[in-house]
Amino acid sequence: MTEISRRKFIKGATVVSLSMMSLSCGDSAKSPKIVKDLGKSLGNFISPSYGDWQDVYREQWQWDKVAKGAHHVLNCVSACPFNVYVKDGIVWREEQNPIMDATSDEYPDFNPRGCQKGNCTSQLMYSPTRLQYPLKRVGERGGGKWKRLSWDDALDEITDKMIEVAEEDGPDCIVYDSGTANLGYGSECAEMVFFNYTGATSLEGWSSAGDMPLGVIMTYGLFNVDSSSDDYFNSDLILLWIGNPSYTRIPDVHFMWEARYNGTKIVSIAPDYNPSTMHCDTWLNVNIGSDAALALAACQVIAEEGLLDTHFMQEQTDLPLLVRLDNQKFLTEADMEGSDKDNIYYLWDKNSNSAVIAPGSEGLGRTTLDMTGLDPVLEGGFEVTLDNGEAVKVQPVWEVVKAHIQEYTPEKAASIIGVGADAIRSFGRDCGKAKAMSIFGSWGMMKHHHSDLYQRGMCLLLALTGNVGKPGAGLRIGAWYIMSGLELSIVDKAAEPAWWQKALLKVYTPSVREISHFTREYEEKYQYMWTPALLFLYQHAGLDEAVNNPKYHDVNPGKPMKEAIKEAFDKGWLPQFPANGKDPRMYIHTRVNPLRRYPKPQLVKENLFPKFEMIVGINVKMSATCLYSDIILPGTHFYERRGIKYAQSYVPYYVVGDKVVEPHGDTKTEWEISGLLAKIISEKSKKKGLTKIKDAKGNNLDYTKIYDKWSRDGEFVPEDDWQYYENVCTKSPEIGNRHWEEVVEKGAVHIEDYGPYRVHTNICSDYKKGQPTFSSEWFVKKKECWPTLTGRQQFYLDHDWFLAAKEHIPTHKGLPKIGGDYPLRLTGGHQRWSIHSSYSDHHQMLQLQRGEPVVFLGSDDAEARGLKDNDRVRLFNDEGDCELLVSVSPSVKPGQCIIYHAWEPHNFKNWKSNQEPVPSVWKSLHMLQYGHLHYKFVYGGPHHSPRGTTVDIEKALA
Amino acid sequence: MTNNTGRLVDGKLQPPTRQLAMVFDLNKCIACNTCTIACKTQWTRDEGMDYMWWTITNTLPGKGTPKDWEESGGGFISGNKMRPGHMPTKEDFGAAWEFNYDEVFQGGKGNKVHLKPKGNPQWGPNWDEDQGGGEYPNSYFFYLPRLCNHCNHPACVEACPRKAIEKREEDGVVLINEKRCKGYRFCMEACPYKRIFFNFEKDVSQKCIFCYPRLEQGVAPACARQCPGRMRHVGYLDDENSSVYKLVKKWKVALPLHGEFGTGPNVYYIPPMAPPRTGADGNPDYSKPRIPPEYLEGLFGPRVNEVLNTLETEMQKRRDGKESEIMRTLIVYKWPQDIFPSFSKEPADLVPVKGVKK
Repeated sequence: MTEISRRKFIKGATVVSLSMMSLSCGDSAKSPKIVKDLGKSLGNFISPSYGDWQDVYREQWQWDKVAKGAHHVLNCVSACPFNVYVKDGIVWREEQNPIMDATSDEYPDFNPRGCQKGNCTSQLMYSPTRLQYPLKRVGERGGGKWKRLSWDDALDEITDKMIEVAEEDGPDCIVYDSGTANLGYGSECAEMVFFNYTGATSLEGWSSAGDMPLGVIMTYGLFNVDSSSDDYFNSDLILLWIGNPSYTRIPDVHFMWEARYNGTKIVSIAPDYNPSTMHCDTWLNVNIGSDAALALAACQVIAEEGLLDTHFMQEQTDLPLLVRLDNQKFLTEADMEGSDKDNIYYLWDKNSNSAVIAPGSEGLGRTTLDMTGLDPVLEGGFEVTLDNGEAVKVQPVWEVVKAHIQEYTPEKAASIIGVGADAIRSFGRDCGKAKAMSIFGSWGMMKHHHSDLYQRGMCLLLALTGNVGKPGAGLRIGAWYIMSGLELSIVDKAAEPAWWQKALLKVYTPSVREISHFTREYEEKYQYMWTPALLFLYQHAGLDEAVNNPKYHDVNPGKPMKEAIKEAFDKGWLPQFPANGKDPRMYIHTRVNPLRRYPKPQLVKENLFPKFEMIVGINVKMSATCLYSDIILPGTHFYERRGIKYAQSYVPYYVVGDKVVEPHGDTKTEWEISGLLAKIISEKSKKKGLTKIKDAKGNNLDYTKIYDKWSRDGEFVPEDDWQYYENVCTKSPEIGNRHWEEVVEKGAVHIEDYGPYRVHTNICSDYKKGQPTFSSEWFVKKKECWPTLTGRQQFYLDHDWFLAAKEHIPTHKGLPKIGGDYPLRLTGGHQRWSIHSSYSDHHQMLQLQRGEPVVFLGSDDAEARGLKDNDRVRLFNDEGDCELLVSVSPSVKPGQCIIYHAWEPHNFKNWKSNQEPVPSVWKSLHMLQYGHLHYKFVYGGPHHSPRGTTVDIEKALA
Repeated sequence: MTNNTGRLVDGKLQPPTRQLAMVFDLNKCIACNTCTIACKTQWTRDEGMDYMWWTITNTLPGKGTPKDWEESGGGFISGNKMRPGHMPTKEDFGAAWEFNYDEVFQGGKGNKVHLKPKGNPQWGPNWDEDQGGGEYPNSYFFYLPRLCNHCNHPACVEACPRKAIEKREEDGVVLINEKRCKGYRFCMEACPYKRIFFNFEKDVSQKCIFCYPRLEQGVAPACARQCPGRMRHVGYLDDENSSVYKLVKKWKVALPLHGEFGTGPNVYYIPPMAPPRTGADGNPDYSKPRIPPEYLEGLFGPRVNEVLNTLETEMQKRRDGKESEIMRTLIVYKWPQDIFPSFSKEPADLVPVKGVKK
């Protein structure tokens, strides 16, 4: 857009320019200035004429302007629109912007969205934790001495080092770590894109955050699944299963308690009586690690009492597919016809009394789950004659599963679960009889060693009862509303579809399965040096010792870890960057805090950081990892920049924020920082003629063109990100292709469409106005195939490793003693007081707790150790230790201790954090490649699992 | 200047023309303390106010804020006969600890120092957060938000020798006239809820003002309006359309806290339900409630169990597909009109007060 036409646009828009220019959200000269015309506001104040002592407080409730703010570029999963009140050029306070209407009269509305942290975020702008200037370390790393740098000098040093490393050892020796915090819909995306263009190794943060829903990936082939928060109103049974929404879903949890008032039954499944349990109808105080057993026990009750939804099982799941009894593998067309199609499967059709090809099989290509004319048999045993003439016995998967769950009758399972058989039976019945059951599974569930088994059990429970793909039903973990404009605005032009592909897409809608396949190919083709962060630590930080320790694994791991990793590398199942065993040389972490998050961060400091010649931090606040960095670049705060909050399915709105005030200090956005880095690198590369930097996949990267790619041939400029926001908005049909100004004036905009399927945007339903969002409708109602090998919810995984591990079907396994032979199990969850996993050092939030880290311990366990409340204790195991205060509570289960996380190392004595005793051992099964199990970005792979680590606690030495 | 509203005159309590009240629904409270922060950012950031949390949500059973406030005396024995009261210290409230940010971030001491509150505090506003009572697995706790009760017969009003505390005629809001206050602090002793703070910098007592500048503009108090749990109902007790009236007067399911303190508090509570107890065999034990009834009676008076039964009956109606007006009211379908109908204006739409006459 040219300058003139943009001015015209501004003039034509319903935006009122003001006499208050000096107070406006002044931006660079290129940007339009948007400030609400206060004089034209509704509902003027009553003219004050009091003149008495009560004026003291009336005078305090004043402001100069109100603008729209949002808390983007932060990994808080809620999206909350705020009105930001500005006084004398600084943000005075904020208050929720209540513009989120109810979906219909049948549901409560979404207002007011925003928690205690959101309602004082502005204080973080002016906090002593805020970074204001580029800093360079003076003295040793972590020594806490700094000198101020100019931006020019800082960027010069960083780009020199990047070029040096790229030239000498290849760009994959530059390691970019964005964790999960920087994946918003705003202009911060430019940073990830920039590092991709350089060919740097990108650490994939889901791996180290423990957010990978492995059981869902195995069963559904989807990265995730969730619905909107008001859809809880459509459930008549909600299971809060490993999760504490009273802490973690503050703006959303009212829907649950309101649903309860509306007649919904809520069951809390948790070892401890937690802040969410108190509002539930029933509490199952299960043993830590017994969740899969509880799911299977419920399934057993449902099967025994004839509460199965057989139609759902026949059509949507692999439960009718035939398995060979001789080798426990699926019966395939390769067996039956001698073809090369080992991905076409069979079921036993009652109508024809024969084995017939199962709709959905991957080998059939584009197919549906429509079973017209078929009556798939779920039980019994049959004999088929193979192509080679051999007769083999086969059984439907359900027959195998049904036999297995007989090991989990309530009576047998009670001792594993730690809950009475009657309670288990009545739980199973409730699940079986519910018209719509949803499971709040949360992200906490994924942080357990056997999280895949927990989820597969839960998925089975939902499948047997047909609780998927309808209102009020299903597993609730996470899903996102897409903005199609994002990928059209920011990706490499070279990766855009060709004209004929675009034309084709107008008449042909690719299936979820096709997009799923395409995503893999895309990542392969367009660089993306994604590497699971834990694998990187295994290779470079010395995490291998703990991860390979056989004592930390099940006796039947499927494949010993060391061998499994070797095979995964040899076969190319997992990416390995830097390639060819090279050491990394440079580390750039942005808005993340790896020393807080990574397992055993002491290893990172000891073994990994010394390999880095330069560590660069880009952050808004001083973090534990910034403290160990060589150069720190200060970022701008939420209210000092534009932003679009990533849109999780909880609310059907995209929440945006404007630049409300000028940045505090000398700070820049990721947009500007990445743009400047791209510009400087390209300029320097032109002088050096660096047109062929070889990346780790063998491509030649033209470093002189990085800026052209970043700026999309001059469309974008580093100094101003307005064009980016305008592009994203106008190219997103999900918001009606509105202009940025129109969206930001309101602070949020209602979705108009769920958009196409993408790996991370996975609602897979059609948007209907007036109805809450629920997921997976395309599969269940429209009978599209699930993106799995069988095209169905897949409970049977016939890979050799799964068979060897006896995890080929949903099962329960005891939790290994990861950490050593100690009596307590460490659990946790997000804090109430931090913003997701950051800002655990906000002084007011600290004042509202004990001001420093606490471990909750049960009364009997405390007494047995001679501990009193608030004693300073040492928590330890074979892997490490830390010191903190003990909070003694009768609500904690004997044998359990709880540390709610987000504490930073510098909250602890000697900066030894609660992660030091946590080795976080993943399972070998998570590394293999088989059908829909195939590592790609945010989908599968080695995975952080801190919960359930064995520890003990003793009084700390004074 | 001062009126007699809220005072006992010739043995007769002088009521205001109208009385505002709040109802807190404890079955929706999650102790996020957004109320606490909303109030803090709105009113208590001036000097001397660091440690003040005019509203706070604590875990019960627990010692609360200030520590042991329930056992600190105050209020009335009968009529105007006051019960002796203890004056809470700054430390009882939690003394707004400062932190050593600069030392850690740029002090050059590396990991020899870590971030911690200065002065080794032993109590704070949520020190016993989520601990509760009972014995596992029959442990229990719930959350209790508190603020000034803007009482019918405020002990603070009667106790102030300066007559610096007034109950407003138009809405019953109790305010300290900080221009008259001389910092004698009798009010702090007299208040049985211990919700009055002393500003050591300004030498005046300060407390919740029910956000009267907001009320006057038709905007709900910050704590209520910013509550994401949607559990703070606000309204006039004589407004038959308000949820406050319905819950307190019509259905009588909202109860005062420690009514026996004798001050006639105007904050009411929907008492907390809890899942059934767990028996020795690991199955539900319905023989008695998880939260001991005598404990709840001690807080909310003898009617509490009757109210809990009503709530259960009404929830069962919904489970059976029948209408329940009580449940509909507690759900709050349309915010803000269903939860504070008289104060549903959006503050961002108002033009700020500039140049108030002093």
